[in-house]
Amino acid sequence: METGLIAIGAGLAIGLSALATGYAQARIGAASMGLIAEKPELAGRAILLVAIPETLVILGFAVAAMIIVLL
Amino acid sequence: MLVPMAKVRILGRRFAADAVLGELQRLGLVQLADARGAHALDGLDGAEVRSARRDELAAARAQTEKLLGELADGSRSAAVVEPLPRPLDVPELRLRLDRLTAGADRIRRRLDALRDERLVLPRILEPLRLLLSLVPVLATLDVEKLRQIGLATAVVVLNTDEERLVDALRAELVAELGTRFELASTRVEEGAMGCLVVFPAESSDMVHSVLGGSAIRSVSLPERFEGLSLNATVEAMRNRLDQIPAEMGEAEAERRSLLRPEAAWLAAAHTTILAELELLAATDELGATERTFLAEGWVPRTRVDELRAELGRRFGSEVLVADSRTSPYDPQAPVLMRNRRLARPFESLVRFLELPRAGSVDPTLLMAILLPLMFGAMVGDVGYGTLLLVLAILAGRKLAARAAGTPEIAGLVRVLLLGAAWSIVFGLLYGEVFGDLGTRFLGDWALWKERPSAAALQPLLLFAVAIGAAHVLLGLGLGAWQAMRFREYRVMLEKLGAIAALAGLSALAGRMLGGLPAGAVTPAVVLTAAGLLLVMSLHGALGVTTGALDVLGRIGNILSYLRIAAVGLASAHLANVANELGSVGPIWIGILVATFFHALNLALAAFSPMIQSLRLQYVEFFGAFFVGGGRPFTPFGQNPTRHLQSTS
Repeated sequence: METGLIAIGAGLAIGLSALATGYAQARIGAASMGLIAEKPELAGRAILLVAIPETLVILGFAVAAMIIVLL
Repeated sequence: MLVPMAKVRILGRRFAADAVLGELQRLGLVQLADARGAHALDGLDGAEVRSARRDELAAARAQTEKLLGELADGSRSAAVVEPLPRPLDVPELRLRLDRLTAGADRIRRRLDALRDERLVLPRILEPLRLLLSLVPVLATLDVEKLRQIGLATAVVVLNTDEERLVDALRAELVAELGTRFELASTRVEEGAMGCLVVFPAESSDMVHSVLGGSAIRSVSLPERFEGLSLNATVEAMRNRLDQIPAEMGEAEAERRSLLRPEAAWLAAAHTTILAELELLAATDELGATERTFLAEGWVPRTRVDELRAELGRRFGSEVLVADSRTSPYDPQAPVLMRNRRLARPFESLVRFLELPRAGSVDPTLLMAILLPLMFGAMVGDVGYGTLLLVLAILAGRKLAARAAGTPEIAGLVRVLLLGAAWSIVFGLLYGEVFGDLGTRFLGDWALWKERPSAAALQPLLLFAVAIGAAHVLLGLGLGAWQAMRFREYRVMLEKLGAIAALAGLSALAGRMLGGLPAGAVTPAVVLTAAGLLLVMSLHGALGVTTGALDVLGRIGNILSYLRIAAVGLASAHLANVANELGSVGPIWIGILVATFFHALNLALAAFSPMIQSLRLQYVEFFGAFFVGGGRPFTPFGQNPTRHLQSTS
């Protein structure tokens, strides 16, 4: 039972943060495509902006890993 | 590294200005600046003549660009074009260009008409074909026969799927003609109904006014199909559609025979026009007094003596080159990156983000070392690493053989090559060959730890965070050093404060994990507090919040390196799943299934770690020190389009 709850907790930690990252990247990605269409020379900046929300899911991964390792 | 630039002033006798500019253009060492505007001087005489010539040359350039664009059919060779003799005889040049342009325009118009016809005919043909079966007798009658029996036809397409609009059209025609017409309809495509109306010829104007509604698309036949019966029209259109590709091929061949013999001349003319335009623009930037001229520009510092010697050899003491001793961190200076051969492909990856500001740190070399290392730490598999190495070598050879591809692609191939080598190294540490395939045959042979095992999770996470801490601290250190060189002492102290806080926190984390003695706690707390206070104090009134957020952001940056472990673990588990699935069922099915999943994993291994490691460089590492906004060094006489490739 306890192991199951730990697994659910870890799953929620990474799953919810992945959803949040996906949502943010979708919004930023759409805006970035518009930016690149207008100014192709800013493609590097656009990719950088799209990459920023990924930290959310990485932090979710860190929390999930800590739940599994420490509990 | 960024090549240090020197700002030079070139002074000489006014009459020698044109010759000096010509020599500077030949040398291709100096990026000229606006000396006239900067020093509020007069320009050289003849501005109006230059302006008129510039207009003529600009028109000729537009023609050569257009004609060269029409030659862009993938048959380019790498031969370097010799420019035409200068100054160009523009009237003669324009005569030849006008002749070529007229021929090319005529062929282009013909091609456009054929393309239009190829697009339009099927849209007429399809409704007609579908309507034929509704009026089989009428379909055999040509216009003459229809006229003899006093009838005319009209074909229209209604932009709707709804039958009631056909009924409405029928009602309108009934109101005007009573029963003296026939209307057949059928659905020709999604959202379109085709209608054929047969009516008395004398009511033609009235019928066409009824058919002129906004939702109605009239299908008017091209001239060549007029007068035929409906059956003959459909047949003729089909034949015509079959003929169009051959006619387009003929037109393309005619264009090639017109332009290809002129390709080398066109490329040479274009190159020469650009060079003359560049020279005219440079002439306008010269400052002049009654007897002298002044040019100003940027030269790589190591090449100032070369410039001085070359001008001295040609003009003796008539021309003077003075180094104005500007600061090496002058933000106005253009930027030229020059790194060792191994690191050079990574320059394009730095430029892809932004060109560094003059005098700032060029991260290319560090990127060349750390980017492949992080890629390798993520992939970490001897089997995948070997395959990626082979793929990278093949891709590199193909790029070299074709002398093509963008610098960014060359940079990515180099990352793949070095990253694959690092993947093999980390594969040995993790003991992975196509996941756990090596372990299945050889037992536990990992030099460090098997990644997917539960015992390896914590050390792996710590390893990733340690790489992150080292990388971010290195970036902050570079940022502090750079700020000191720019005399931005506030920024420098802020970076040093962040370094102190992060170092203190790292020490505390080390103590919690048992890696440091208890005596390290007090210095670590003091270091953290001092660093935090320093950062907060530099952020002004809101420093307590913004300073703490700044340090928190840096901690987030370090934790972001956990992706090295995350992406690597995902790859290792997928490889293990492939092996597990491969061991179920008959061996040949197992091999097929395992190969499929390993191929999928390999594709992911080439793509995802590349993106993730690039992101770690651009966001976490560059964010600690990188200052962009540099202007590229484009020396006078080295116009990027000067060496146009000729077409064969």
